[in-house]
Amino acid sequence: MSDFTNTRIRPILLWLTLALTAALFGLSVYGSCCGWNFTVWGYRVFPRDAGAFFNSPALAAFWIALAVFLIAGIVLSPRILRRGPSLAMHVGGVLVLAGSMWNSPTGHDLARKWGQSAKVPSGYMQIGQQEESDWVFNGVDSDPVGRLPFTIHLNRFWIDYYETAAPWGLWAQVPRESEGHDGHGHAAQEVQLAWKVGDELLVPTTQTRVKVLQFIPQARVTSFKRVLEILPGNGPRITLPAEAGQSVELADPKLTLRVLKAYDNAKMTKDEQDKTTMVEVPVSPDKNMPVVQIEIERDGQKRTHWTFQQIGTMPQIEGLSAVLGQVAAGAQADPASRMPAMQVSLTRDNPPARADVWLIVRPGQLLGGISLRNVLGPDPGGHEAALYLARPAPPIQSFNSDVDVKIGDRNVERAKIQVNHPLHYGGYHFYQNAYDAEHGQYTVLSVASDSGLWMVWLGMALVTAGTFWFFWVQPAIAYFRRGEVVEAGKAAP
Amino acid sequence: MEIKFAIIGLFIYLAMAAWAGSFVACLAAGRATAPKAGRVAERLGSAFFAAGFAILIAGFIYRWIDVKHVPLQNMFEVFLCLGMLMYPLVLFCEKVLGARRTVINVLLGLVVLFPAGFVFHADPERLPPALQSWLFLPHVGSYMLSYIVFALAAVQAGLHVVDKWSKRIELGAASETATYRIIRLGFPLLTLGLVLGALWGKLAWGDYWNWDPKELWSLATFLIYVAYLHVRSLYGARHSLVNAGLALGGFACVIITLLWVNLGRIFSGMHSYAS
Repeated sequence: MSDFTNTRIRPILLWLTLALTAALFGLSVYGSCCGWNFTVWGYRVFPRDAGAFFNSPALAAFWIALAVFLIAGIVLSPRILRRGPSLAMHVGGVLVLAGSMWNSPTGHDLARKWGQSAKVPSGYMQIGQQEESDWVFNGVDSDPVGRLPFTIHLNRFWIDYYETAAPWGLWAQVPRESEGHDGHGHAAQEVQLAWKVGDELLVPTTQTRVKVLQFIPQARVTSFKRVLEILPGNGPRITLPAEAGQSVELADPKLTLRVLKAYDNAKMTKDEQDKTTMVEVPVSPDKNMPVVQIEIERDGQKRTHWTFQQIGTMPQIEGLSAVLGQVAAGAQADPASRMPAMQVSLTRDNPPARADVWLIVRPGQLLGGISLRNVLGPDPGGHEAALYLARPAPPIQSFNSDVDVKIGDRNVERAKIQVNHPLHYGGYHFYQNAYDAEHGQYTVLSVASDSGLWMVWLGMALVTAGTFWFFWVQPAIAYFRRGEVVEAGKAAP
Repeated sequence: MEIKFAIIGLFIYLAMAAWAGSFVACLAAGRATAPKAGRVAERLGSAFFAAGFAILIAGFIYRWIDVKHVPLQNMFEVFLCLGMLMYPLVLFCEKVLGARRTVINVLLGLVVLFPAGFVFHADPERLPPALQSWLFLPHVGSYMLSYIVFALAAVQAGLHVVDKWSKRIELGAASETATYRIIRLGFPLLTLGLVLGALWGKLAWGDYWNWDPKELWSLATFLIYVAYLHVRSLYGARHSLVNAGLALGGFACVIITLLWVNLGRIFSGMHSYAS
């Protein structure tokens, strides 16, 4: 290597690289403050988002300069080139930078522009149970960023909880005694009832008495009753048995809802006027599509609608939503179950009403109960109350999404996605990100392209191996040979 | 501030008492006029230091059995682990790397144990899904080892600064060399912690680098030691105060990474479960 290179170029390159490394230190400290709402003369001192800041065009130029100077420094430095561990450390650093640039959103844009790849860099997918999707969105359910060349089908989402020894309690949600009516915007309180099988208790602030008939700590539901879950635009949820002849009058919106037909299993067909309708078919042991036909009478006009499980009423009704659901009608002990069931008898004298119901807690849920209004009808005092089984929430052990990867109609892979156990398929990783906290009906997966990742891992492996060899192994070898501690990278005296 | 009346508290307070005894004995050894008395005091100090370590090992194992997972989940467990690592690392640095024996190391151990004993809550917790990984122990463990190593390096760097100002040349050279050797010991551990953290981030969160404040301060800590090693490699001990400054600055970054980022409300990030 020429004297000019040795005496002029190399020192300059070395100091420029160290200066960029020092700048990276400063940028790291600055970047850690991203999000601080600190302004000077009305201007934010720190950017809102660290990721956006470090991927900005200005910083892109910085990363490229750092990589170029590192490469030049390696090439022009015999001390680095001659020593394997030292070379590994520095080359590893370059590979990490290069791989990160390749994996970045800008790297994916350039690859798309140059016709190399049309991969989506990253995003999110929200998929309902028994649904599938190939769309990736920027943030949850916002702008689409692209489509995958395959679909992800969610078979099931569930949460596993740690075991807890906390006992199940019987709770009533009732209005506060001094506040009057319970309803939207009015105060409610949770009251724990000291229950014992066979004892009859009064639900506070109501005229309803509850008697616990039986409690099964580990139960399995043996039969269900279909119900129509009605959610008016303004007003509490109403549950109506999904049986022909049942009806309810609503105040807001002002209408009458009647159940005309209820099928345990139906299929879609066309009638004589070529309009889509449903016909009852025999119940199948595998999969059934229960459906009810409801009639809405509003302002003197009547319209009929079909209502299904999960997707509700078709076509949509303005100011109202109705979905076909089910409630437990019987349960028995099952040692394999972790969830309880309690049968209670509810009685009211004025107006007289009585019902036996099951309170069950479904797997993955923390409480399960019923609204007294849905079981006994409206309370004469106008009070809304609910009864439920609950216990202190145990910590969450895992979030689980059971998915299939499909190409067309063909299942090509099946996986259970958990935190720390992503799915890797087709050049993408899929991670458990979030879920439907209220009903557990959908999962949110985050998606990341694996372009350039191999380079990042290789670089990190080289840096780690080189560091250990240079600072630990070589001095240890010298120490055990000569019995003296020597400096890293130097031969023992 | 709280006093822990649980069994784990007993382990910590006994260890602190042993190390307080070690500190007093080592001070007495330094001030003893009779050589024999000095040797006795020194041996007593070493014995108390070792006894504290034995108590902390037992406490760590007890905690591990109690919580049914590696006890590195919260700040209490982290500081318990840091305290446990003090003695073996001090011993290694003194015997193998030529670090100067100093009573400051015992004091450092007491300082590390104090928050575990009186500040952080010790309620056992279950591991959340994000922490259920085979990388939990290697990632956090390598960082804990490196933090104690860099603390010991900072002690030696501080001694060097004092020696330099006091013009104690030989002692100063010895502590400067010891600083370098100790940082050489800790730097691969820091690198390993950083790389394993990236791997774990990819498995758990989908990205090996999220520009989280903890990650950025870890990178800053890494870079300051990179700078130290390059300057030391280029100039040796010729600019020893610069070397010492970098070593002390690196330890300041360690403290910020470990404490401020986790506990300060101004930083929000994905490592918040450690608060």
